[in-house]
Amino acid sequence: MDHIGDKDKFAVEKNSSVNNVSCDSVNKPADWRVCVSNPVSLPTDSYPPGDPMSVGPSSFSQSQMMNSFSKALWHDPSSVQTTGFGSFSVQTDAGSSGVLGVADGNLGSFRNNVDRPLETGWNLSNPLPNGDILLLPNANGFFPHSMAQIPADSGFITRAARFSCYGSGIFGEMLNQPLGVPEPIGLYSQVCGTMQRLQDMPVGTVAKQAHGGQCSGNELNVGELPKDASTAVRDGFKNDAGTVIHVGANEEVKVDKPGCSHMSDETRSSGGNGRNELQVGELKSGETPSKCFDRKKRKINSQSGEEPDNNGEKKENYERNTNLSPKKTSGGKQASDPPKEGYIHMRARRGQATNSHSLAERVRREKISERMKFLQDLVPGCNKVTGKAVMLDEIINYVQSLQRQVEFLSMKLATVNPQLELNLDGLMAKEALQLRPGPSSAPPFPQSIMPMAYPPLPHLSQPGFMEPTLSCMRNPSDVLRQTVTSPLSPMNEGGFKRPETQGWECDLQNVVHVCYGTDATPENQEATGSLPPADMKVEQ
Amino acid sequence: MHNNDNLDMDRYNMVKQQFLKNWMRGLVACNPSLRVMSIKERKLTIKLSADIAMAATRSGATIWSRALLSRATVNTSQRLLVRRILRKYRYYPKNVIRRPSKNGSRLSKRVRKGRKMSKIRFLGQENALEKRTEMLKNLVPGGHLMDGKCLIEETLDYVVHLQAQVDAMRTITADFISCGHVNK
Repeated sequence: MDHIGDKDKFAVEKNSSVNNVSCDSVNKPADWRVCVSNPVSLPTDSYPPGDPMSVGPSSFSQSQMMNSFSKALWHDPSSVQTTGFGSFSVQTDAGSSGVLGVADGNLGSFRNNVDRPLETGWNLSNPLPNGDILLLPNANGFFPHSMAQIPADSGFITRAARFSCYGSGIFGEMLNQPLGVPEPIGLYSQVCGTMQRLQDMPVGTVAKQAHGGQCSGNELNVGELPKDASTAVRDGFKNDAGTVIHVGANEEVKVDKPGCSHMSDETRSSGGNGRNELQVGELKSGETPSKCFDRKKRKINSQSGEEPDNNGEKKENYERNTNLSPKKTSGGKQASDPPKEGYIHMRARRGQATNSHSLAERVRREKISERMKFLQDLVPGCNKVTGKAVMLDEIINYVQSLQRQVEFLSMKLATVNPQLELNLDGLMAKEALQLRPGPSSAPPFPQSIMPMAYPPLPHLSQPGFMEPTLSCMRNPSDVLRQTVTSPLSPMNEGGFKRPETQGWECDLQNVVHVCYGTDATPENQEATGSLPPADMKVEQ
Repeated sequence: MHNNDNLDMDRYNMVKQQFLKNWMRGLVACNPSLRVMSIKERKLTIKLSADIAMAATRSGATIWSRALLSRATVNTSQRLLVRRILRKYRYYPKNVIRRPSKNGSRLSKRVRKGRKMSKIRFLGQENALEKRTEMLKNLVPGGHLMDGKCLIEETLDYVVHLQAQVDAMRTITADFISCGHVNK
């Protein structure tokens, strides 16, 4: 099942990239359109039946998911500086066509840069007539040709790799404002580098690569496929094309040095240092895919609960692969050939130690700080906070408060239990109304509770907790007005709000009284932990 | 920016909806027994069903969800609840229990490293960061299985789902209360 899931993902990446291409082909310049015109026809006829990897029924849903996921990385550049999550947001399928239009602009410059390797990949897989493209049986021959055009600029590579750390949203922005030569070079080298690696190694070792992020998962799929070298190359390349398109940051960091046909040999032979660079870059690439994973996982799970294996597999692949790499780094010079092939060449930055351990440490720290940034965006009120310790403090407080709220709410529900059965059907109907547009539920709540609760930590938690809940209550009252008043009893709409908000406070007191009346004290303190401020223990 | 917020909200709402569905399923399942329970037990059951629902929306894709589910399935009385909620995903309890161990074997290096590190570190020489990491590990279900970077990822996911859970529970309880008032 896991294999199939990965193959699905693989096929879907292809399909998604091709779909994107097909949508783009209308607007793009002629040469690019020519190059791309071949893949346009692919998804319709040749790929699904001819593709050894695609699994029919589930590939569509996955293609949708991958579509939306690939779109996620091609946001409006203006939206790049939003929260880390925001830049990775994934649309529902309903909005897919619209976003494809959005993705057009972003994809354009990128396509221009990557189209040639892409074409090679597509053409290798499907020999369609195309006068612009040399159909080489051995793609290896193609790449040194293109490699010759790329100036060796390792500093650029590190810069490009560093860009990936700042999220693929920024990457999309970079693509939208073409940086001229450096940007396509990075993509070229990355694609070529992967191609190089795939060509140079037996297919079996491809499977064993500890490769960063999703690309590793894809390459594992490649290993499982028919072991024809050209097929592997094609698959790996399609893999890269897919990943190039849909995981922008991931590909960015999978940067081999320019002139990779030479450099990869160099690094391979240069022993520990080369491995360090490889691993460092790879570890860096691992950062951003996790965010993509978060987004995609959430999206996939909420959309179709049928792909949990796939998600789990992807995340496990990612975890396993990125987890292996630090160990390889510390293993240093004793690492064998196959593992290091999956790593990324990355130079140590100027003025920093090139010790394998310190490099790995640095990469690990950067990864962690990258994720802390996301947490910062998620946990309200952390924007002004700097430093890991304080950030962790805020996160811990937030998690604790959320857990306490869950306890409190469940206690509250327990007290109103006699009416529980009556309302379950009504609640099912109300679930449909949960999709209220806009910020009614989630963001105002955390943002309003944070300034209340956290700066003066122990004492104001109680009013801080109550006020945003009151504000949230107004919105459910809107919902209720629509659903409750009609079926249940006619009620003054104007007066509905007031009894409700009053009921909230009265109910709080009721809960407290009930708790104190019926249960032992420790239970009360645990259950209504948010109410008595004396019970608020906030670890510092 | 506005576009992204809408997308985030849609996805967040979908998470919430999924959680609500799971939770309702669990509540319906344990409804008959709720009447005879004390308030304490009711609260525990409700909280348990909420936690399982939250983990079910993640359906085993993350460590924390698997840890939550396995924690719930240890108790046989709760296992039925898990089975009921998870029936859509066909993750029957033994699968759920098996998955953490499967994950554990894959994570064995990490777990071992983590445990070894914790043995070494807890000699009064922790810095502030280590203390907080330990606290976070205590908070997030399954936290002790994770190393630093994984911990933060899991925390991210867990926080989002907790937010969804709290929001959904709040609206539900609000509806209940208001319905109660209306009925009165």
